[in-house]
Amino acid sequence: MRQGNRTSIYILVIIGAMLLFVFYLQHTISENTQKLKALEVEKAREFAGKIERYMKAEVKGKDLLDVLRTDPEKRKELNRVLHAFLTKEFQYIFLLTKDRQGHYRFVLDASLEDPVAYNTLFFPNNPAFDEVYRTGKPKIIREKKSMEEIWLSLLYPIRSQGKTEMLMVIDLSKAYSQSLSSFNAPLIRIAKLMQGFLLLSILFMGYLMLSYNRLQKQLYHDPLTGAYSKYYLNTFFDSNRLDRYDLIMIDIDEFKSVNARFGYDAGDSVLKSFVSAIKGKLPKGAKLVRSGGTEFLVIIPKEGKIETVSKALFHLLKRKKYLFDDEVFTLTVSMSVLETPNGMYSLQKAERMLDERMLEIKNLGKNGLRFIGGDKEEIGYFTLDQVRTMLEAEKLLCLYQPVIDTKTGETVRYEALVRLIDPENPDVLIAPGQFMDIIKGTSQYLKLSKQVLKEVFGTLLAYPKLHVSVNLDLNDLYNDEVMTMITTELKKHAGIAHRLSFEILEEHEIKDYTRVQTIFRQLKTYGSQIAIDDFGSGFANYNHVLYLDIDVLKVDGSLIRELLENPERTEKLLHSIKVLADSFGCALVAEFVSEERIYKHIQAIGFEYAQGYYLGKPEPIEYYEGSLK
Amino acid sequence: MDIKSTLKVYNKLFSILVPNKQTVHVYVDDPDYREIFSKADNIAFARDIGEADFVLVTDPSILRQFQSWKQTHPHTSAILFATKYSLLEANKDVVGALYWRKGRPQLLFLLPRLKAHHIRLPDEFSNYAVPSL
Repeated sequence: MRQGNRTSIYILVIIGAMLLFVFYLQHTISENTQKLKALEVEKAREFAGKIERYMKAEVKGKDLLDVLRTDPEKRKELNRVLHAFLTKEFQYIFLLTKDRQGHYRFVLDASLEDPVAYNTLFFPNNPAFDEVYRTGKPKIIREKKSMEEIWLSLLYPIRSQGKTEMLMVIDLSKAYSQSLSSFNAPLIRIAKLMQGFLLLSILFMGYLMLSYNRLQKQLYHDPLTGAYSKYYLNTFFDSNRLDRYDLIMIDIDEFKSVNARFGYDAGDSVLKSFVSAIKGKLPKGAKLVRSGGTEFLVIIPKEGKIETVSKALFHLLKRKKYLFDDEVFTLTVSMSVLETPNGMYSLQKAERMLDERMLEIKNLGKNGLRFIGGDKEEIGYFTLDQVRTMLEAEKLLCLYQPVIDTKTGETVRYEALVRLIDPENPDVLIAPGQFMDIIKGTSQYLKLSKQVLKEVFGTLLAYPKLHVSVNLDLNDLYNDEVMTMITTELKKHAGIAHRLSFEILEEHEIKDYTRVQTIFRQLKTYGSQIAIDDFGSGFANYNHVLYLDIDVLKVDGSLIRELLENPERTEKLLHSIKVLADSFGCALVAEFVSEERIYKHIQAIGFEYAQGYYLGKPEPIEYYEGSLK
Repeated sequence: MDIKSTLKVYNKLFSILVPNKQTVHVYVDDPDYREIFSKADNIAFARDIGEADFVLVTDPSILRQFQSWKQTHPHTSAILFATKYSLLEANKDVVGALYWRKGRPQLLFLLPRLKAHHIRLPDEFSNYAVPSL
């Protein structure tokens, strides 16, 4: 927008400058005409001087007025002389004198066509005549408009013995003035034409700017909701620094159901109401952009309020009620929030980060609000493309954390924990927290699972006495490719199956226990064990124990940690889990055993196995089992 | 001749020369002046000099008409006013003239002739009144 306005302003400035130039030109032309006219006036003055000198010379030292009064022949002669000076410039030349009553009377008149007789009365109707007569100083006067023929009059006193005895009047014709003006008329006409053209150009430019602004307004706003458009978003960050703003991406969950139930008109009405609700909650300077069908982006100037604003928006939109066809309903939203770090300039990158975080929320069941921190380290997590690149290059390894027999203190198995290797710095290992959420629900997750299994199988083959447990998502087990890979390996290397446990991550609810039980049985047929990870949290509920044939229950770390804060009640809970596990013939593993106190507690409760930093950190297998070489 | 300004001037003259007359009867022969005066509501055209309050002398023939009228009606009170200096000079009954000279409008009254008609000029016109030509 600014670019367009700038261009228009430049053009207007240029036109304005041209207009000024034309005014200057006009002024100069008119000044030149005035100078030309002034020259003519000067010429008239010179003629008057010459005529006076000539007439005085003709009377040979006598008083000129006396001679003219008394000598009609001399008057006739001098009239002829005066006549010689009449040109198209000088309309009239005549001499006046004042009578005793103070009235002007003709002495000489150069006109041959309509000569005025000597001593005829004359009323000049101009006080300048008296002034010149009195002062004896010549003067140029502009005659009244009513005097159509005369442009200027030169009043020239003819003096004798210090007194004005006559006035010579030389009238410059209006026609001559017009001919002088017409001398520059073509130039003035051109200047006026230019003026007109430039004024029209300014008007046209103004019209164009108005049209442009109107069009821009249409482009900048979503016609349905009145929110800003995606086009505006891009333009906005062309002229504003991204890192001066925080961003919130909002997507309406299950909006299709609104259209399906109530029709598209209802959908449109809901969208309008939704936008209106957001706008009412936005702080000053914030902008709402409709970036997709049901996806919106809020741009908020950085004032450290992003968390408060986004939470308030989230709760508002969740609580907001919509009324259609006498039915009141609510909608949930998924929101990802980016506290834009300093130095971030790419809107595309920011949108990708928000999209990825949005995908995580959607995978976790929607209706959520998640933040991407403002600190660069925090938000420096990997994108799907980066993970894909690392997996394609097999930049991956497994660390192994020992699982200890609480009675003997010996390591009975290791849990394989995946790490990606930073392609820019191979010494840096990337923990699952930095990429797992991004790839869940994508083909990269399966690719990762397959590579982990490949690595684990390799380790089991390399270390014949080693027992390893590996995490698998239910989706892995549902995937034919993964299951084929597992069963193929187990068939091929019969000796490793009984040294392999599958820890099933319970991030999804099991809806079809029969199917899962079939898979578990298939794995157990080879001699592998099945463990349920994070038992006691999320979806890992008692139904699993009820419907599935499980060997090990790994109690969720959050429960184990509670032993430090709330030992009495936690012990009671863990005792009950122990009783349950014993009843179903499951071994119990305690995770997150980070210090001795916890270890003592779980020993006392009767947990068979324990793992955690107190007992051993995740390390390469060589660290615990020694190098193969 | 500009109709508006000419009428303005003559109305002023009528107010001086023919005072207390709602409608001034003007004897005028010249077609240009007749056209101008026809635009005024307070001016009526006199059919002959006997009917006239004001005779506009635009050429010598009007003067001749007046002379012959005067011979039969020596006490005529009509005011004669000329449009040329020469006509003012030519007849002693003409009280004044309004004419152009050297591109300038000239208004001229002769005091003795005004006096004969018992006309007194307002001060603003005193500059245009002379005792003789």
